[in-house]
Amino acid sequence: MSALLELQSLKKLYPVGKTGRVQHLLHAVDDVSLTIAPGESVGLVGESGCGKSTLARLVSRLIDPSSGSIRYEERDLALEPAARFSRSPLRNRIQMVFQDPTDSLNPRYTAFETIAESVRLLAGVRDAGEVRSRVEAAAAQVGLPHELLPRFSHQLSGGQKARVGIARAISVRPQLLILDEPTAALDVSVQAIILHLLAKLRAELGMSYLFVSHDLNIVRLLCHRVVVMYLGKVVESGPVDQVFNSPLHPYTRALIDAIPKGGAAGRPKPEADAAVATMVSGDPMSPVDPDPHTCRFFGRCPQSGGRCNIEMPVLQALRPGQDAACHFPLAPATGKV
Amino acid sequence: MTILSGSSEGFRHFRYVMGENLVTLFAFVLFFAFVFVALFGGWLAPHDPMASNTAVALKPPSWQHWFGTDSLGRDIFSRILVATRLDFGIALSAVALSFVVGSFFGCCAGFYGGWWDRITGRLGDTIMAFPLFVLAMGIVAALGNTVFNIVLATAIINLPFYLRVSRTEVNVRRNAGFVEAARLAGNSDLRILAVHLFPNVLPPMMVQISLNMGWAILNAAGLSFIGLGVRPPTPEWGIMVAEGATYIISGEWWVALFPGAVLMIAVFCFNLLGDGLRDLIDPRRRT
Amino acid sequence: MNAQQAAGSAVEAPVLKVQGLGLEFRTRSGIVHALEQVDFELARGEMLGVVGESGSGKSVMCFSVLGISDAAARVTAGSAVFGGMDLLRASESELARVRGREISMIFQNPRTALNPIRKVGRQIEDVLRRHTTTLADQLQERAIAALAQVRIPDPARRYHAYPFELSGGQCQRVMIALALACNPALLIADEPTTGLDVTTQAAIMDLIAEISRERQMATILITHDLGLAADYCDRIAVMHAGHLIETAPTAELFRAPRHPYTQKLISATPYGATALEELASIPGNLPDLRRGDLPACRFSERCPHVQAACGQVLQAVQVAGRHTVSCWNPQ
Repeated sequence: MSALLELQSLKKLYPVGKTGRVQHLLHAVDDVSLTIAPGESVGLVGESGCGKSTLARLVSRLIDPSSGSIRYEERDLALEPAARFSRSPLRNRIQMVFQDPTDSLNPRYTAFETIAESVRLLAGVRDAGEVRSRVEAAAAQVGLPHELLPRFSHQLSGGQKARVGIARAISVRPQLLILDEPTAALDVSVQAIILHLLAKLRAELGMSYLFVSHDLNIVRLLCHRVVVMYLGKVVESGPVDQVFNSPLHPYTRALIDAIPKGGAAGRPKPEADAAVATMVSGDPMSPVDPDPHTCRFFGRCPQSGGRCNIEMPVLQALRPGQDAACHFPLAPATGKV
Repeated sequence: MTILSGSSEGFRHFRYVMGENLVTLFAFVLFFAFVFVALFGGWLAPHDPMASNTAVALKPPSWQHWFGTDSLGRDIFSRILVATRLDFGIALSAVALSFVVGSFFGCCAGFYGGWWDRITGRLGDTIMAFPLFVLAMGIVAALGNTVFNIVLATAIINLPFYLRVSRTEVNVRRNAGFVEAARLAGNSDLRILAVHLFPNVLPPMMVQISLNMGWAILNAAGLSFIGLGVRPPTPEWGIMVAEGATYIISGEWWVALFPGAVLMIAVFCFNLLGDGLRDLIDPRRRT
Repeated sequence: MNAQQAAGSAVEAPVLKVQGLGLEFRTRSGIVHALEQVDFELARGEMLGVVGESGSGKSVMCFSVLGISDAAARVTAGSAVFGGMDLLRASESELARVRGREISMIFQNPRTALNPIRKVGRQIEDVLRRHTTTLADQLQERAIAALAQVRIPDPARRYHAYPFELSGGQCQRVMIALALACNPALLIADEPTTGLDVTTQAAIMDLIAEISRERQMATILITHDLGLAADYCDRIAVMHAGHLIETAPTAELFRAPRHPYTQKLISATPYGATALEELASIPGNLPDLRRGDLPACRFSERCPHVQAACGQVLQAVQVAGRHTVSCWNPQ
């Protein structure tokens, strides 16, 4: 399977103050390698501060990595500074849908102008009539009624704003669509509609998705593969059902356990089990100058053993297709919730 | 202001804002009255503002001379009408100048940060470190007593306010979602600044502009009052107040009172105008 | 809470009994009919989940009970009896005595609800000083005990921390400590875990549930997350466009939802689904609550089971034990 996009040892370090002459660095994304195949949907999950949004912005070339490469069609996109990439001919290949549909629309633009700007600048369409037809086609694809196009964002509902954001991104036919928590600000009923829409668009347009979310349930329904991040590192990746049903990394396990289980079963939650209870007792370690020889999950992990603070575990294939970075991976039996 | 032009929706919004707030309506009526007088003051004036006639010097208000006459027998009402154009002209050009320069540097400082920010920040602080009116006096005294220099001095002392407002407003929006989205849509930095950020900064700037218009008029009149601005016999509110001031003690109150009152009403009008302008220019208030 | 307790609490007088609550907002674009005919009651030690989408009126309802509604709000009908007092008709000074001492609230965003420039320990002392008769020299001790109770590690040190020095989860723990400092009889938690990570959410909810159980405190959990409510609440009340459309014990609600909206909401929540196709979507939007011609059933315009009778004034019907539904055509 040839990759559409390949990240190699991508790092993003932010300088945060100095003590004497020592520069402290916040490791937002630390040595992440990842491939996305054409037409594949990769879910990126993790808690706030784990670097998943930073990674999404690195891949969408909104910010520059500190080191590492982003290979796309034999080219390294990381070589071109983000400020210049917005004018690059490859800009239309990678697009993004943002978390907050309100914040991501210019309040002084109508829905039409918002979508039209992408069409004009990225698809190079100059003719007003053609711009209009392209915008209307994109609006039709996302199910946005034409009579809403002259409206400003504050005159649209949350779901309609989300559609405008998606229409803007797909109007230029990207190959990779990065979705940064696209449903986090929406109500469940609208969320379901948007998820259905995203699945439909993927089938129609053959796009790859990098779907960033803190909600494992949504990733499970929409994605083929899931990548779990913790404090800037990938701790586990694999096919979504496999990871969901038998996680290897204790953090993945805790994440799955913490999801409310009610709903379908209609039974009260079972008593919090050991993994969650141990884990939530501690706070994550600081992402500023973390010890390179200690597993990032050390201290919160119920499995912590002798090697965990001597040697950083590396991400390796522990089962076919399923990678994890852990010295003491979970056995398949305990993985099942 | 594109949103006010032509479109029936823009007009409906204007009517809505006016109907919602009577104070704003009052301020707008007053403002348009001033603009009208500034444009047509010369034709409206019942007397020649420059013609002196010592026979009727220092006459109190009457049917003949509504606001009375000054020491040279000139009609004060006519002089006030004619002076409106000069006073408004100075204030408007000074505010326009500081708005253009201030918001350009302020927006760049807020957007790029770093050196832009440090240099414009220090520039603003330096100007603010002087007593502003004294600074304006110094500039006019050094450069010469011309209308252009009054405009320049007024623009310079107002510059820090524009720098600060535009810098802050751009800075808080620099990482907003719609700016990132604009970058993904192929906008260069400059285009983002001009097309996406600047229009969003306009509503709060409008308040600043309106308040500043009041100050600018006061400042121009103040400079003329102390003899550093427009020279007599040109009709100008500040000079007229200055000329009248000497007669207050001897009982000829009208010489200073009427130009002073008009000056006050003009400043008052601009201060009221600010909020209304912001409401007009912000599309979020259009529902 | 088990079935036996539930049966017992039905006999005991409810902690809070809200009847026929109606509320409207006067805005410049018309009157918003935010709440209409809201009835519910809450027993000692019971946790009630109030679930609904944004704009359904779930927060407005609780704010009105506490008398902290927006200035434009006006209660048009109903009563909310708490400890023999009708909260909707109580004077501001009566309410002030009750709030914080007998009824406490936890807000959505703990960082903005805490005073940013005052040590968290001092903020707890402020509440104790105002609502209890704790002696001055015991205040600090009680504040540290309160922090320990919400399982903040090293409470004696964290007593001196400012809110910005704590993580989001710890700030929410401080909020809970503040809310519980005076042993309230009723706790209202308004989206207490929105914005927190899932692991933190689980920990915070476990804490709230445990303390409620220990103290036999009545708790209202306002949330948009049906799954979360299902995990922790004894009963769930579903709101839609200012109407309380269905109330039932949790297990019953999921086993046999009767209102079409509840059914849709359950199948739109992704916890149970195994494939995206199973996830239901609810077509249409909430009706504009400013409309003069709001239908009697505010779901009728989106409802697949609408019939002629739906135009009549709605009444809550008891369909089983503690299961009531406001629908002319329950499924």
